[in-house]
Amino acid sequence: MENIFEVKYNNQPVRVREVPVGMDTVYIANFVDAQPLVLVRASDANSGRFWTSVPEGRQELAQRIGPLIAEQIRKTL
Amino acid sequence: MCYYNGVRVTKVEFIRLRHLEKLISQYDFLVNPLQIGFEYRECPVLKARPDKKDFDLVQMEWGFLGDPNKWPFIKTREEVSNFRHGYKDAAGKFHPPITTLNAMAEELLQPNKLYRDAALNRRCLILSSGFYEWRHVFPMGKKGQPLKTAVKFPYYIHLPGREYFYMAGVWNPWTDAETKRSVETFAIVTTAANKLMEQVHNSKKRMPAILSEELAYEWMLGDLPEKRITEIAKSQYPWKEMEACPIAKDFREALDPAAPFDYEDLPALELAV
Repeated sequence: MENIFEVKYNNQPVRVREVPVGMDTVYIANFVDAQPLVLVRASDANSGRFWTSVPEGRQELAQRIGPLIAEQIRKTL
Repeated sequence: MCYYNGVRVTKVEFIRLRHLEKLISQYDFLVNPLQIGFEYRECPVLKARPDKKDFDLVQMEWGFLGDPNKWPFIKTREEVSNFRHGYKDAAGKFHPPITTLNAMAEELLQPNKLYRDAALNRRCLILSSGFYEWRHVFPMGKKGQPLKTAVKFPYYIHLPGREYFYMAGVWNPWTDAETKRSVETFAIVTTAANKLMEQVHNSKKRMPAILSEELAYEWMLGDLPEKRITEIAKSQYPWKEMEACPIAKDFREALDPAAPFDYEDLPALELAV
């Protein structure tokens, strides 16, 4: 079952869908005025966690939107 | 060690992310759960390879554009926009829009029809998880007579147990004469409504030509005579294997457009056998 929720970014609503893909969960962020962004949580080389865009290329945006998604998920736990 | 998006990750993590990329590229359509025809966006389509032995999942623009050599008034994007949305000419005369989102099965192969060559040579399958139609209900007046103005209720129609299904389509490549950018465009084939869709899409009594897996592959990969093309295009998916539920009138803006919605004044569909 997909989980759909909304976060606010730059005072604009961003619709987020949590979608299982293979063995992973990805988050698809739909913006009012920009191309959708696919995000996933990943582990860096020091075993720390970070948000990244898939495919590569929109890391800065992924690092801004990712924490908003995490916060929203925490709220609904 | 490798880098992904500028962050140092282990080889194992790098491979996981690359694998995810590949999976996501195959499911690009998941990005948008709601396709609105009149927005002429790109949608997921299965297209046969030239040898007709295999197929690819590609994105095509919904809204069939014919060959500009035969349809010379759609050579550029501006002309396409005029064609699709209507426009006023220099004399102020309004030319209404022409929609090529749907191709009627009964007319597909008629001589000189826009879709004939594509129906013969470029048939495709549109992947869908469900679609939306409006049911017109005429409320009763004070004297018990039906009023002339219908109240419209949106429905979400899907195939229970099927995450995705196939609609028959026809496609055509189109190149912008100014920018030389090429796109592939398509129309969804429609057929007469079955028992369920007659009541839901009761203003037009049409439905997309939804195909079983067997018919879908025959449609896309088969070397078919005209009679068979028309037969498949006109086929009606069994109504008992479909489900239609009313949804909120503002579903286009909803987080989950397909979420069921109860209307007090909406009579139930009559589907008794």
